[in-house]
Amino acid sequence: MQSALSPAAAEAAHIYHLWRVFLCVMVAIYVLVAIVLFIAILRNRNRATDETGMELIAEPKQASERRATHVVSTLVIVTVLILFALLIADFFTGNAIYATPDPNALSIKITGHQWWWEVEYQDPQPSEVMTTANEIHVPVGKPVKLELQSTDVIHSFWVPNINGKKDLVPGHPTTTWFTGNRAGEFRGQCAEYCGEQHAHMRMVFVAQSRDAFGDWLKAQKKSAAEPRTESQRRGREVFLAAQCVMCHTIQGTNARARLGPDLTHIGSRIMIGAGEFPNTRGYLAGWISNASALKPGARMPPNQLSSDDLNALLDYLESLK
Amino acid sequence: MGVALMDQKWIYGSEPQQIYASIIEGRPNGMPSFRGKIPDYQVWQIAAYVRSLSGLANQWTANARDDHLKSAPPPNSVPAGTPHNSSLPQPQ
Repeated sequence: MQSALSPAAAEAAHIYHLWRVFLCVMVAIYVLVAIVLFIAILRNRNRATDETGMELIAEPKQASERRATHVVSTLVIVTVLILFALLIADFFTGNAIYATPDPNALSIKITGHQWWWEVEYQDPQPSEVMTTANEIHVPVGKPVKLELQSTDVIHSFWVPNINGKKDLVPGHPTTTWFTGNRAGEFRGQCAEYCGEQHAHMRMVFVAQSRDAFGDWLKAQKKSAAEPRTESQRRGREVFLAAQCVMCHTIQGTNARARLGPDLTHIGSRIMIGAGEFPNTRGYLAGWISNASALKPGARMPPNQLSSDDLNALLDYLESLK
Repeated sequence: MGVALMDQKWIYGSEPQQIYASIIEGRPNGMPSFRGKIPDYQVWQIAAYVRSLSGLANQWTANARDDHLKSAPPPNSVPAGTPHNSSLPQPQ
């Protein structure tokens, strides 16, 4: 579950501690102010009245006026000091979050599209670069560097359990870092309005042990699995003959278009539709047949396939683990 | 490279159905066939766009972008299948 109050990374922990400081200070001040307000309301209920029933307004005594001035000016100074203290706390938190970690960080390039996330695991060797979509795995304890850019409009990368938000601005690459400190599966979402399906532009974020991450990355770097059954073979033919090749890539086949998400390991993904629907056969069938019915405005056009073709295609895509 | 699309010379005709046929069937000397690769309604949109490149757009056609916040449903929300003027049964 995504929650900024359940930190799974050092950066989110810093933000969480700062939030707790603010909460405690603000609650204490609020309670004090409420108490003072109630005292003020209750204290002056029985004023003296003259014959006609009008309240007699007495001249304020000099002593109590001076006292009131002292109290108010003291409280103003205390308020300013508290604000400065909070500002300094905020500065230290910001410093901790943006501290540059070691240059051996795992580098991931994330490109925002309307309305899905293109994820590219960098490597000094170009043949080791791995592209996937809408799902990010990281090893626990290793610093991760995210390079963020966008192909169309401004998006914002936000995994609340990991760190704060960072915008993906077209033409202006930005960077954010984090170091996960506990394993788990979290959700992220787009945090900058980017069009019709901004609210449904999510991602799956998995922090796992180094070994599990190594296995996952190695599997993802392989080309697509060869079809083993007749149905899967037919499914691959359907994929290559129909509209799919116009937009999607499956490494190891002729399909190399980059308009839509990379489908080389679509069978291994936890969710589809940018973190919106579970990756089950039914949802996949609905998505292929008419993505706009599930996510109105999605760029993927409807596909009219015969049921045999669709079943074969689903068999093939499910086999791409 | 292919022929220029912004001039008045049309080798295979400038009517929408003729441009549609060119896209769907392909043409000699390099124009591939896009049958089955682009949805039907998008081929008609492309044909209209190609006509507009030569100034053949209908002058009473609505602008792609008008002054309202939301003018038309997303183009990909149209139901999959036959064009609206077809006599075939429409999918509901």
